[in-house]
Amino acid sequence: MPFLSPVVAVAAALLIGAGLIVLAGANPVTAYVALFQESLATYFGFGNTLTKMAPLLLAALGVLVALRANQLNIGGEGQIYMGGLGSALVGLYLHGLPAFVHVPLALLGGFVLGAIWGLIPGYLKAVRGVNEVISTLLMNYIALNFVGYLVQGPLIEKGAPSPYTPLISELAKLPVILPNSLAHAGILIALVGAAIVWAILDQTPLGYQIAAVGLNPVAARYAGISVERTIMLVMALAGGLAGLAGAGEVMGLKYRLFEKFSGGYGFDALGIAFLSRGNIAGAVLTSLFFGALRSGANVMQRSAGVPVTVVYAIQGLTVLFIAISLALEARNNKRL
Amino acid sequence: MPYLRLEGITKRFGSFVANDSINLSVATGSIHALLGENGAGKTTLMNILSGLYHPDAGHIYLQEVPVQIASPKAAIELGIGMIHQHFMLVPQLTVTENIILGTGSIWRLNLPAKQQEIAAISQSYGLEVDPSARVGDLPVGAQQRVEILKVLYRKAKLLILDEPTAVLTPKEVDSLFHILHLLAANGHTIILISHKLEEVMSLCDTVTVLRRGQVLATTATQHTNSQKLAQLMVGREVSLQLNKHPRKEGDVVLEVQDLTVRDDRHLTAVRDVSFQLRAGEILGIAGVDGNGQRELADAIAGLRPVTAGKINLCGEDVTHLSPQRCKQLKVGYIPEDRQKMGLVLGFSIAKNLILKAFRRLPFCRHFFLQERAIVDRADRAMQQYDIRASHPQVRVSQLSGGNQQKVVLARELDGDPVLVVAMQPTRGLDVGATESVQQRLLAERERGAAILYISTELEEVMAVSDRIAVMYEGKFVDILEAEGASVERVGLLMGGGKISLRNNRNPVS
Repeated sequence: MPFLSPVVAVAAALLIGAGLIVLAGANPVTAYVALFQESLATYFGFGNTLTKMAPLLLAALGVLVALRANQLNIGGEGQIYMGGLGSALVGLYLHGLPAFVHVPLALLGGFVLGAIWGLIPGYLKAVRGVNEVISTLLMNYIALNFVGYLVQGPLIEKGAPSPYTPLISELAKLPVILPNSLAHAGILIALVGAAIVWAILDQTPLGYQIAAVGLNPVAARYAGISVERTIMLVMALAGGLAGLAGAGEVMGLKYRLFEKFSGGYGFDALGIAFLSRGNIAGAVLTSLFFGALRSGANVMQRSAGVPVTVVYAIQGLTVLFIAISLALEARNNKRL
Repeated sequence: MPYLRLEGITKRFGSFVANDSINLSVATGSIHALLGENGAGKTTLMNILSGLYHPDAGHIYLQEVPVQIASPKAAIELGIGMIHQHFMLVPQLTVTENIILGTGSIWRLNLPAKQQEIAAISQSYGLEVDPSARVGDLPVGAQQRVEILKVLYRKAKLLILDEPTAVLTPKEVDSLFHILHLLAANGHTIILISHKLEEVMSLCDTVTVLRRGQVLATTATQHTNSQKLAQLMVGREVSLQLNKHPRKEGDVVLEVQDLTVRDDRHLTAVRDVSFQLRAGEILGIAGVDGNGQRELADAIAGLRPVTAGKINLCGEDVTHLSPQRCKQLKVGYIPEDRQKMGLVLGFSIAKNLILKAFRRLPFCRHFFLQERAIVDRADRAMQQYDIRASHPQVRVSQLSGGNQQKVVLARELDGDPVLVVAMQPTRGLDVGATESVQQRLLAERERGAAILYISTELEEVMAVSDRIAVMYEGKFVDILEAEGASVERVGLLMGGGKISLRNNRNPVS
C-alpha cells in the first residue's frame, strides 16, 4: 500500500494538469507526449533530466535525513547556495592540484559550507530550543543574499555583464558522463549519496540513534543517547547533502557561481521528500519524475504551446494530493 | 429503574471481538465497577459510552430510553462524563481554561465569573484545586481533580472513571472515595473501571467482571470477595501474596549523602536525602506523586544534575556522571512512564531491546548493525520474559501494557545490573502482569541486585520492600523496616504527618 498513494497522487495531478492544458487551448495528450518523450526518450533530453535530478535528489536526501530525527529542514535552498559557494571557492582559489584531488576537495568545500548552514539551526534547536522550521527557512534568505553580494562584488568576474564569478579551474570540474549532453557526474554523486544515506539510516548504529531520537527523544535520553548531539549531527549531514547539490551545479553544469543559480531546487526537494514518504528508493524515483517534468517543460511549451507554469502546477498538485492521502490515512488509522 | 442499560453491545476491530454482546445494567445512584484485565474490553466499552466508538450491534438505554451516542459531544449532552486514565488536559492552560474549554459562548469568555463558578463546585465536592493555576504545574493528583471538575462543570449525571486511583496517595484515594460517595448520594451514577480488587470491594456496590470481551458475572460486592474476583478476572488461581525469601544482605551498593536535586523549574525537589542500599535488598520509597521521587531516581541514574551532595555506587563517586557512564556501571533504570521514557513506540521489540547497547558487540560489528544478533537477542528475551507477540519485529506500540513493561525489564535487567531503580514499575498493569513484574524484581533481589523500588501504591511498597523510606516534599521523612510497619503509619507519613513531625523537629513553627 505505501506505494499506491504516490502513484494515485501523481495520476490525479496529471489529470488536473490535463484540464489546465485544455484551458490553455492545447491538446493534453500531445503536450504530455511531448513532455515525457523529450525528457525520458531522447538522448539530450534524458541527459537534461539527469542534470535536474541530481540536485533535486541530493537536496531531498537532506530533507529525508533530517526528517528521520523529526527535524523539518526547510533550509535546503540556502544550503545549496552555501554548498555552491564552498565548491566555487575551492575551484577558484586552489591551483596546481591534480583533478583527483581538486574535485573531491571542491566537493568537500561544498559539503562543509552546506553542513555549517545546517549545523547553525541544528545547534539553535538542540541547545537553545529554537524551532528549526523557522530558522532553516530564514537561513535561506541569508545564504541567497550573501552569495548574491559576493558574486556582485568581491567575486565578480571583471567586465562581466551580469553577476557571476570567473570560471573555476578546469581540474575542479565534474566530467560529463553522456557526451554531447549536459549530464555530468553529479547524478552519480547523488545516486551514490542515496545509497550511502540508505546504508547509514538503515544499517548503522548512527541511523538507529537518529531514528530513536526522531521517534522518542525522551526515551532516547533515558537510554543514554545525547539527543542534542544527534540533532546537530543530523542537521549538519542534511546541510552537507544539500551543499553537495550546490557543488554539483557549480562544478558540473555552470562551472562558475551565478547569482540565484539554484532556482528552487531546495524547495522542490521538500515536495520530493514528502512524496517519497521518507523512503529513499522512493526519493530516487520521485526526483527522476520531478527532473523529467522540469526538463521536458520547455519542449512542451515550444511544441504544444503550453506554458511552462503548467508543469509547476502539476508539481504542486502532486504534493497536494499526497498531503490529502496522508491525511486520509491518518484518519483511517485513528478510526481503528 | 437502571440509569444505564446495555443490551448485546458488540464491537469488532477486524477479526478481533473487543466486546462480545455485552449486557449491563447500572442502577441510578450506584457505584458500579467494571473489573477486568488489560485487554478485557473495559476501555472499548467505555469508549462506546463516551461516543468515541460506535457499536457494531446492540442498544444503549439511558433511563430506559434508547439513545444513540454519535460523538463525544453527544455523550456530554446526554450527561455522560468520562475521566480518562491519561488525562485530556492542555498543560499550558489554567485550570479554569481547561474546564471551560469547548463550552459556553465563543464570543464572550468572562473568565472571572467562570473561575468563581468552578471554585464553588470544587468546594462543594471537596475537590481542592486552585482554579487559576497552570495545569502543567500541578501534580498528577491535582490534575485528576481537574478532570473530575471538568465533567461536573458539564453537568454530567453518569461519571465514568478509568483507573482513577492509579496516581493517588491513600489519603487522596480516601478523599476521592468520599467525593464519589457524595456524588452517588446526590443522584449521580458512577462507573469505575479498575483492576484493583481492594478498591472495588471497598468502594463499589456492584461489580461486573469482564474477560476477553465478555461479561462473566455481575454481582453485589457484598456477596463476593477479592480472591473470587481475581480468579474470575484472570481465569486461573492467582496468589495475591508475594512469596519473599528472607533477605541476604550484601555490601553497600549505593550510598547517597545529603543529596539535593532541582526539578525542571529549578525548584529544589530533593532535599538533603541520605541513605544506603545494600546488595540483595529492596528499599521501597513511598510517597505521593510529585514529592521528589522522580528527581531522585533521575539523579541516581545520571539523568539530572546534582545540586549538592554525593552519590556513591560500589565505592565509586558517580555524582556527576553521565547516563552513558552509568549504563556501563550496570544501573538498570525502569522509568515511571514506559511509553514516554522507557520505549520508542515506533520501534520493534527487537530494536527497543538494544536501545542501550546498539553501539556494542554483538549488535554492532564493523560499523554496521547485526540484524541476526539483534533478532536472536529478542527471541531469547521474549522467551525469558514471556513477552507475548508473534514476532520480534512487532512494534511495541501494538503490545499490551504488561508486555511493554516486560520489554523494558528485559532491556534494563540485561547483563545483571548491580543496581536497579524501578519507578512505578507496575503502574497501569493488571493483576497478572503486576505479579510477573514483581516476581522478576524479587528474582533480581535474590541474585544480589540492590533495588530502589519507588511507588505511590502504598500496599505495593509494603509488600515488596525490605525497608521503606517515606518521601515528602523532597525529604525522607523516615526509613522503616517493612516488617512491622503499618499501613496507617506509612500512610500518615506519606501525607506529611505534619503535626507530629513539625512538633518534634521544629517546635517554633
